[in-house]
Amino acid sequence: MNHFIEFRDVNKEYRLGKNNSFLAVDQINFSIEMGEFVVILGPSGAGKSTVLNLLGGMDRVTKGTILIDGKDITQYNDKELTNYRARDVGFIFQFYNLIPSLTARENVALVKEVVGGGLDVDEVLESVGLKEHRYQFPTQLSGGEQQRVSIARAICKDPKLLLCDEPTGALDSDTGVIILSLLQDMSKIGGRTVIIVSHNAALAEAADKVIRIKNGKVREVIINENPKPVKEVNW
Amino acid sequence: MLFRKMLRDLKSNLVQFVSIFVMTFMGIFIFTGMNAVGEGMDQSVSDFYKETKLADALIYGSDFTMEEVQNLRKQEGIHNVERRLQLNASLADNTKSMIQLNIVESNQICLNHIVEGQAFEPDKDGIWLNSSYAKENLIHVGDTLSIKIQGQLISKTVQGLIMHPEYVYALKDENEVIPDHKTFGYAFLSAHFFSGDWGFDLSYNQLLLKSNRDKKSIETIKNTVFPNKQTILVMQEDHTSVRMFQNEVSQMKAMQTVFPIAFLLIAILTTLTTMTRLTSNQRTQIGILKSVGFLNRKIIWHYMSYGVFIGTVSSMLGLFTGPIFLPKLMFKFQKGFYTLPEWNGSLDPRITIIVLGGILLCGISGFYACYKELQGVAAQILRPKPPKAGKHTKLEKSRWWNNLKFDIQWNIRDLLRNRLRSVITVVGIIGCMTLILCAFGLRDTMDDITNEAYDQINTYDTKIVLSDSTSSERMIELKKNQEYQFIQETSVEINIRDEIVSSVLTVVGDGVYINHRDKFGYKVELPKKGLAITNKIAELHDLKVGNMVTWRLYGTGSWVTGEIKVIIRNPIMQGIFISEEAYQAMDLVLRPTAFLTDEAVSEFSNNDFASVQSKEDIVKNMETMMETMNVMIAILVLAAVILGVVVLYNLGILSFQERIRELTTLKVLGFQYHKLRQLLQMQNIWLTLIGIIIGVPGGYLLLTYMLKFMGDSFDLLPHITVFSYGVSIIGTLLLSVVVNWFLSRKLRTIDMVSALKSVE
Ligand SMILES: Nc1ncnc2c1ncn2[C@@H]1O[C@H](COP(=O)(O)OP(=O)(O)OP(=O)(O)O)[C@@H](O)[C@H]1O
Ligand SMILES: [Mg+2]
Repeated sequence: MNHFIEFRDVNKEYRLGKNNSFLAVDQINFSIEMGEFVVILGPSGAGKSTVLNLLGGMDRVTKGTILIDGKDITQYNDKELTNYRARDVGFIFQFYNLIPSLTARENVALVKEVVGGGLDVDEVLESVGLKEHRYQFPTQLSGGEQQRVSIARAICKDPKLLLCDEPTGALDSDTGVIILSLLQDMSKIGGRTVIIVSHNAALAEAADKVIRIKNGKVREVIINENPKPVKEVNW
Repeated sequence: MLFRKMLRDLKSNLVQFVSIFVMTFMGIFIFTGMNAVGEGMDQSVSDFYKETKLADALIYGSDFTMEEVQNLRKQEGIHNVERRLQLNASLADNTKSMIQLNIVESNQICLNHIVEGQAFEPDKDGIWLNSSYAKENLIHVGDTLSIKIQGQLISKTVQGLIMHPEYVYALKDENEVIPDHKTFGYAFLSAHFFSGDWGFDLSYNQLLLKSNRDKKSIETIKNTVFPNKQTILVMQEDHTSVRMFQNEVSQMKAMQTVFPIAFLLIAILTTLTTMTRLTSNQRTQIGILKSVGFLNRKIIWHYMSYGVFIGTVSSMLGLFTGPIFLPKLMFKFQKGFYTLPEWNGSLDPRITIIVLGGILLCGISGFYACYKELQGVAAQILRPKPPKAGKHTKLEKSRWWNNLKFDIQWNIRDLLRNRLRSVITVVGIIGCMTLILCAFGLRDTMDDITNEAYDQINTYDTKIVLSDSTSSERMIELKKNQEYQFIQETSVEINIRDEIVSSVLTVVGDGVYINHRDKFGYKVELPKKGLAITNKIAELHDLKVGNMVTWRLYGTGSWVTGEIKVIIRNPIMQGIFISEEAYQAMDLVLRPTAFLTDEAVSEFSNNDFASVQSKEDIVKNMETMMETMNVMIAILVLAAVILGVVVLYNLGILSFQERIRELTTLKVLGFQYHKLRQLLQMQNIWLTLIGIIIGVPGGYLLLTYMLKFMGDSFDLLPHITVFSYGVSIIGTLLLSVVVNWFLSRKLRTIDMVSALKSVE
């Protein structure tokens, strides 16, 4: 059967010196279905971010194939890869990466520059609860609010895939819960595929699928038949 | 240890520091170089004057007797007096050229500088010819010349080739700009060996004076010694040759300050931005240094040392190369105008203080940058600085703001938030544009001289200067020719509100060869009553149409008064112009000194004339001078390009580094390369356009300023052709586009993964 996302024998090797290299991702295989809420867990340095970056088309594999909707993105050239990022992927980072000189609304609206269509900017901002703050600059917003801008920015173009690298890493736990639950809704209500990299094992209870990574290898893939809503998880 | 940290920091901010280096270097190079040119010319000429004992004053008159000389010598304040006869002659076999003969009695004042051959001495027979003329006409020491003086032929052997301090700048004719050594020379002879040839007594017409008195007191002395004689006193500093050269020196000195300003300004501003960025990046390091126990003083000194170090190294390099290379280049150009035995560069020692000041300013920029960071206790500094607060500018409240595309909004905000950076970029572009435009403008204006003076105003082909010996029968015969236009050109003294100014009076007979124009370029006729005065004199002395002007011919005549009826503009020659009709109305008679025609020079190889000059030769000389000027223009343009490239590249890199995180984010979000490039280049293009817009009037103003120092006889309108505007504007734009293209290649090197890894 065809999976929405499929990693086949993916390797990522970093060259450190002349004869020295480091295998950050080592023969990884896994698959993710459309609409799943996936959590990638693992200790620091395990290779979680690397996997996510490969999946998001921000980095290139050393070996292997990554299939998205049946298409091998490792074969894309720079332009196609950029297009893929623009159309299909929404990124949410630990440090928000908002443009400081644009207001919340403008930060969201700017993705419209690259893809036509998508959702209405103001509606999206309202859906993440930022209607009143939309004309403020990032520095005038709290961390949680900034992360919500970044979520709004990611979903505004209506992507199939939301990739979140430690989205709550820089937030207090209460705010983190609000953000995570928002992301879960994106999947449960919005029908998007959401993949979250996290340190927090407790999040596993809320996920449809948990992928555990260690030393660049997939240790286990757990499928959760009855994921809990984020708000009910015991943090 | 901190020195090593500095070297490493310099290395990691190479582009910025290299540009500070280049700017300081260029600034100091031009500054000290031009100073060496100006000071050197000043020094070289005054050495020459000293060596040759140039007279402090000259008295023009006629038939000066030995008693008068003795009498004058007795006067207090007069150290020495000497007689001299100056008259024009020509070579028997070369009527095209004119030689000014100086027949010297005792040779104690205004000596010759010997280039070749024997020294001039009053008891030696022979002729001493100026070396430039000899060179152009292939005359050598030992040759025998046959000289035609007022109809008589004498033969003299060339004993030596010389240079004379009164002929540093000497023209045959007021209509020339550049000396033509092929057709104009001068020679010195001893009076003792002259009277024999001559056949009658010498009538000395000049007195050379050595005195330490000022003009007023010499004038008084002169009037007591010569109560009944028409004499004219000319002080050394008013002598045409001396004055023209002094003008040139001040022009060089003016350039010394104007040009380096842009470079030094950029150097200091760049130091400021670079150091501000460096210190805010090293905030934590400053905190650590402080907590480890470094005194504020030490830390401040450390950050000042960047600017001081670079400033010192580059200034020293500029200080040692500028005064060597620039004089070499400029003197080559000056030698076309002026004749001096020695051209040496020389530096005003005070310049070094200014150089030190420049270094200090670079240091102070570093101080200013880190001083802000040092405020507060160590623990506070160790915490990262809060990011710059976002602020809505007034602009955004306007209705059209929201209709702008985000890249425009983004760039506008970015510009407003990095005002210093934006200002430096604009200043750099203004400097670049101004320099290029001024360089081209100089050329255009020079081109204009040729056009105006020789195509529009003076339309004759040949000017024949009559000599005193032109027989009256010949004159009558010449006057029959209706085609010839006769003119009288005489030196005059003008009395303007009791100030005596020496100038030239031209009485213009009937004819078509002189066409005057007014200030605005419209043709004007000389009035039938009253006179015309050139614009430069009018402006200098605040004379208007309707004012009265009083003048008298040099050496003779009483004062004449006339009313200014028109003001005309002449680019190369200033004075009074009167039509023959108006002259007659003043009860005066035009005594022709020359006539104009469009017949070829060869028609007049007759010995009756003092000289025959072709306009073509003058124009050709101008063109030769323009070629030398092209080198200067090329260097100006090169300096401008360096300024532009360094500023744009340096600030482009700075802006790129500051925005790299944002650019990476956009790249991750799926912005295509060309879109990012456009985003990055947009503000540089804007700033370039602003710089160009301001630089256009800037270039015009700089040109106007430069022309001010061109000397009293010039009246040049700054003129820049459309072509020059086009080339400078397109050139500057192109420069910006090329630099931006290089900058945007950096976009390809962005590594999305590592750039977004953490907050800095
Ligand atoms: N550019 C690089 N060059 C060399 N090695 C790298 C590079 N980027 C990452 N690595 C290595 O690859 C490994 C995986 O890195 P990665 O960022 O994926 O870890 P992670 O699982 O996201 O860790 P964390 O939870 O701390 O973010 C690490 O050991 C890291 O040292
Ligand atoms: Mg990570």
